[in-house]
Order: sequence, then C-alpha cells, then structure tokens
Amino acid sequence: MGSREKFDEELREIYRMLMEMGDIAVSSISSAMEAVEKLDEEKAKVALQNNQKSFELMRGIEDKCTELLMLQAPVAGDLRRIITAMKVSIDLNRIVRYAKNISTLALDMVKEREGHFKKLVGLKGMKKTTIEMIEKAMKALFEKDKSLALEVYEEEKDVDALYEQIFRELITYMVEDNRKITRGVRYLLAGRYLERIADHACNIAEGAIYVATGERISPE
Amino acid sequence: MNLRTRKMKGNAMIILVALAFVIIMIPLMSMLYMIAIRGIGAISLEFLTSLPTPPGEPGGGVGNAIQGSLMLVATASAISIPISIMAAVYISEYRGKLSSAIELITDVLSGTPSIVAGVFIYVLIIPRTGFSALAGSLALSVLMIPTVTIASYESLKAVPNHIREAAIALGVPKWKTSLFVVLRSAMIGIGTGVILGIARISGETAPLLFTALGNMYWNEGLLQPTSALPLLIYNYATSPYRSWQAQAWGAAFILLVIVLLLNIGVRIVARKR
Amino acid sequence: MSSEIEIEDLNAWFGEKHVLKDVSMEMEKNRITAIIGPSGCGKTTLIRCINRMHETVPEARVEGRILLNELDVYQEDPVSIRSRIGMVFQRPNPFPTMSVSENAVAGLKLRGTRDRSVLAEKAKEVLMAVGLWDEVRNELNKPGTSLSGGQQQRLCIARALAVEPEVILMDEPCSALDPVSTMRIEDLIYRLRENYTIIIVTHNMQQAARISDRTAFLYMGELIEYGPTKRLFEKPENELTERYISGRFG
Repeated sequence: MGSREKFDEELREIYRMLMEMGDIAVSSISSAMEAVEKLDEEKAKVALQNNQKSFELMRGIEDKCTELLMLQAPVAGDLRRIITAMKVSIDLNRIVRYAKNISTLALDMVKEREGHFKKLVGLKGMKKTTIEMIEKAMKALFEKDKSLALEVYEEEKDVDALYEQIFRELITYMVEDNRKITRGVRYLLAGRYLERIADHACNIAEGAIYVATGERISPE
Repeated sequence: MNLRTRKMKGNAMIILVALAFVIIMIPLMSMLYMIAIRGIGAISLEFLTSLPTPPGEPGGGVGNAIQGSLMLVATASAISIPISIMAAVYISEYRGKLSSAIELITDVLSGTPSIVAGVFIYVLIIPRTGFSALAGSLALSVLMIPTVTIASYESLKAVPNHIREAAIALGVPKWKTSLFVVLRSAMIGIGTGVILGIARISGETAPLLFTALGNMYWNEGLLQPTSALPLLIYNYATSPYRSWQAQAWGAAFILLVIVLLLNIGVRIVARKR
Repeated sequence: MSSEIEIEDLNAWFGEKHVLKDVSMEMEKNRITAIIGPSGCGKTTLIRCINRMHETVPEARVEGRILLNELDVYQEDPVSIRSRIGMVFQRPNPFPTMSVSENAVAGLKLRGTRDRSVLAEKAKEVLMAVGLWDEVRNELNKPGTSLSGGQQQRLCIARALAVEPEVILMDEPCSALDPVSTMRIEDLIYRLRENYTIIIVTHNMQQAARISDRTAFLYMGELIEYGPTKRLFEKPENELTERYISGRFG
C-alpha cells in the first residue's frame, strides 16, 4: 500500500469515527430528553455512559489527525477535512456532555419523586430541532453540501425562539407559585443546554462549509 | 557449470592475457635495450653541443640537430596551437555551419601519412622559397594541428554544460564565456593534447626530408635549411661510416629520452585533474 | 532595485515539441513567486524564457512577450537582460577553475570590472549577503568547488547577486541539498525578497508553501492555476491543482 492510499484509508477511518460520534450525540440527546420527559432513570444512565465513549473517540480522532498532519503534510481538501474533523469531534463531544448534563437533571427530578407540573411541549420541540440540526450538519459534512449546512443556521433561529418562549413561560409559572421554582429552573436549564447544543450544531455546519468550499462562515 | 571449471576458465584467461602482455613487451623492451646500450656510449657533453665532423674524423656531435629540432618544434607549435584551439572552440562552442566540415577534415588529416604532409609542403612552398626550417615547421604543423584540435575538442566537450550556462546567465557574452570560462576549464585536457602533439612531431622524419632538408652547420634562421634529430638519425644510420652509425644510436637515444619525458609530462599534467 | 515581470501569451518549443502554451502571468515586485508542477510540465522552460536562456539551446523557439518593468525582454540585447535577471541553477555550479572569491565576483570580472579593490569589496558584500562570509573568510582562495554542497549553492547565489540583478530566477535550487542546507537557502531566499523579485521553480510543494507569496501550477505546458500561495494550498480552485498538491496525480 502506497503512502497516499494509507493516508486516504486513515482519513476515511477518522470520518467513520466522526460518524459514530454523531450517532452517539444524537442518541445521547434523545435518551437524556426521554429520561426528562418520562422521569426514567435507566434512560438517563445511557447518556451518562455515552460520555466516556465519546471522549475516547474524540481523543482517537485527535491522535490520528495529529499523526496525519505530522507525517503527510496534507494540503487543500485533505487539510480542510483533517482540521475540520478535529474541530467537529470537539463540538460533538461537547454536545454529548450537554446531554449528560440533561441526564443529570433527569436524575435529580427522579429523586424529587414528583411528576411534571406542565406538558414539556417546548423542550420536545427544541430536542427535535437540535437533533435534526446535528443530523443535517453531519450529512452536509459528509456530502460536502453547503446549502444543507446553511439550513442548519436557519434552524438555530427556531431553537433560540423556542428557548425564549420556554423562558418566558417558566418565569410566569415560577412567579405565580414559588414551589415550582426548583422544577422550573431544571426545565430552564434543560432548555439552556439544548440551546447550547444547537450552537455546536452550527459549528459543525460551519466545518461542513469549510470542507466543501474552503470558505469560513462567520457566525452572526 | 561448476565452480571448478569456472575457476579453470578464469585462470586460462589470465594466462592468455599475461602472454599477450609479454608478446607486446618483448619488441618494446628489446628496442629500448638496444638503443640504450648502443646510444649511451655516444653521449658526452661534446656530443650534445658540437657540430658534426666529416666522416672518418673523430669526435663531433649533434648540437645543431638538437638546436634544429627545438626550433622546428617550437615554430610548429607556435603555428599549430592557436589554430587548433581556435578551431576546437569553433567546433565545440559555436557549432556553426562549418563545424561538421572542420570535424571531418580534422579526422581525415589525423590519419594522413606523415610523408604526404612533407610532399604537400614540398610541392606548395619549396619551389618558391627553397628548403627551410619554416617549411619544415609547416609540414610538422600539418601533422600537429589535427592531433591538438581533436584533443582540445574532446576536452572542451567534456566541460559540463552547466558551466557555460552559469556564465551565460550572469550576462557574460558568448565569446568571453568560451575563452575565459570554458577554455580555462578545459586547459588541462588541452595541455595534455599539446604535449602529445609535440611528442608526435618531434620524432617525425619523413616530412622533414623534403622541407627542412638538413644542414651540417648551426642553423641561422627560419629561412635556412636546418638539421633535426630524426633527419640526422636517418642520414647517419643509412651512411656507410661506422662513426656516423654510432652517433645515430646516440641521437636516437636522445630523441627517445625527449619523447619519454614529454609522455611523463602528460601523465603529471593529467593527474592534476 | 527590484522589478516586476509580466508574461503575455508565451509559447515555447523544443523543435516540434510545444512545451509552453499561451502562458500569461505577472510576477510581483519584491515577492517570491513559486512555480510548481510535475516533471516536464514546462516550469523550468518558463523561467528560462524570462532570462532568454531558453533560446541558447539548439532548436528552441519562443513566441509572445515578456516585460521587465514594461521593457520587452525580447526586444533587448540578451546579454544585458541576463545581467538584470540573474539565475541560480538546480545543481550548485561554481566555476571549477576559480577560487571562492573569484567565483563570487566572476560575473563582474567577466563583464569587465578590473579594479581589484572594487572586486574584493563586492566579493565580501555578496558573501555576507548570503551568510557565507563567516564560514569562508579564511578559505577565500580555495577552489569554489571545495565547499560543501549547500555552501556552493549559496556561493552561486552570491555570484548572481554580484551582478546586481533586479530579478532572480531559481531553478530547483535546493533539490541537490540536504535538509539543513535547504532550510538555510530558504531563509536566505526569504530575506532576499526585500531587495529582489524572486521566481523559484520547485519540486517540493512544502517549500513553495513555506516561502512563496504566490504560486503558479503548470501542467503540460499550461498555466492551470495561479494565486496567493495560502489560498492555493488551502482551497485550490482547479481540480487538477487539488489532485497535484495533495499527491493524487495520475
């Protein structure tokens, strides 16, 4: 095997690992949120376990990328893919950590032995959109699709709007009834974490555009 | 084929080669031996510096022949070396329309029998000027020019092209590049060629027979007939007189030493490379 | 003084072989322009057209215009053009018959400068400029070819500088050198940029990326892509360029 083929092989492996991280991120969010919705301890633990796996994958990607940079001095598209893989792996790992934080919130709620005082419509909406954003951003990255990546930016605005909505709604609940403050803050934090996740999804979309065209989109 | 037969074959080859070497060396060494034995006895200061005496008279020497040879060779070199080097520079550096013609002529000339060179000058010049050292030098030049031209051309060709390019790229005109860079780099090879050329002509007899003719006295100028070592050897060796024949061996010995020294000179120059 | 080079519709041939096809490009003043491309793509021919060395080869032919500060190189005396556009070759080629200091000022001397003090001063100046003075100050009378390969190449650069050119062409100047000598030459080239316009042909893409301001990619005699080095190595516009610089050619 020539060194170029080995290089291509390594780069493919890095992106396979990245795809695995993406899947872990998505499943972490969905189990963490399910744990919150159904106050399900088992689901919460899934997201906690994912955290370690994701961290190891990120380190693996970092090592492989460092090695390729060191040994192969990549340029052009190769260089962009390697740099982006490193950055995206960090974003995905952050996402998994936010999902873990959400799981911790769920565990806290389980300990409180109390049902939800409202239907979690807004949070469900945020979950759905953030997962969609991550999936789109990853697809854009793999398919070098700039317009798909730009859609991710559009959806971030929806997430922000939903968060704003939840924020106002919960403030109202908490002002009316101060016994709802503990739970209310937990909902609010979950929303805040989802909003952060959406932000990282945008970073992934940015990386996708860089891989596709070499442009660097500045975040607004 | 097994190792033993291969070894035997190898040994057989070595023996054959050694035999060939001995066969070549026998005539050479016996010639050197004979000339040395018979020639050394004749050598003395008087022999080297005085004029020949008439046959039968004792003493006398070949001083005028040595002087004549030096004069002929020096004049021939003065004529041939510049012409040859310029011709070589022209063929190698300028590659003009004439260069292939010059190359061909040079090759043909270098194979010309030396007597033809003598006859050529005899026909061309002697009827107008009579026998002279100058005519002899011209005849020798006809032989020397091709030798030196070919040697110079070969050593100019051996100068790597990047040396020329380096000079040209500095904004040095072509002619300066050829003379001061390329020619200078080829000097050792050219020097070797010149010495070989001199060695060749110092032993030539045939072209001098019709041109320099010979002389029993000191040579007084380029336009007079002159003696030379090869001429003297030819005349003395074919004479019926014992004393002259003995002196011919002595002269042959001197000539041999001169050619030998020139060849050693070539080796020293060439080793500097 | 440094000058800019403008090439317009340059075509070059070796006999029947068309080695440069309609190349047009500008090389900026006080900048390093790198020319890259696979072997036989015409990159060496391109720079040899600029100082009119191409035509010194039998059967070679050129068409098109090359302007040195708006002066048409092909309307001028090639000898004077070559003194304004210096060249450094692939293999270090000091004159074997000359000493280190004679080599440094060979151009001046051969072009007619006789004054010994002028020559000695210039030799020191250019040897210092290439960072060789301290290394060879006690060996100035040794043959130029007695130096190490890297030193010889710096001597050749000094020799080119002594003629006071405006543009310096370099034809793979490090390809025969070890990595340490290569780095020294690269540093030197980068420093020379302040005073000269430099055009360098290189096989080594990392070298082009390291030292040049602009990079041209030549393929089969055609200029495929030309632009700022950083841009070209990060996001080449042409598919061929991308494949070549990332080592996926053929």
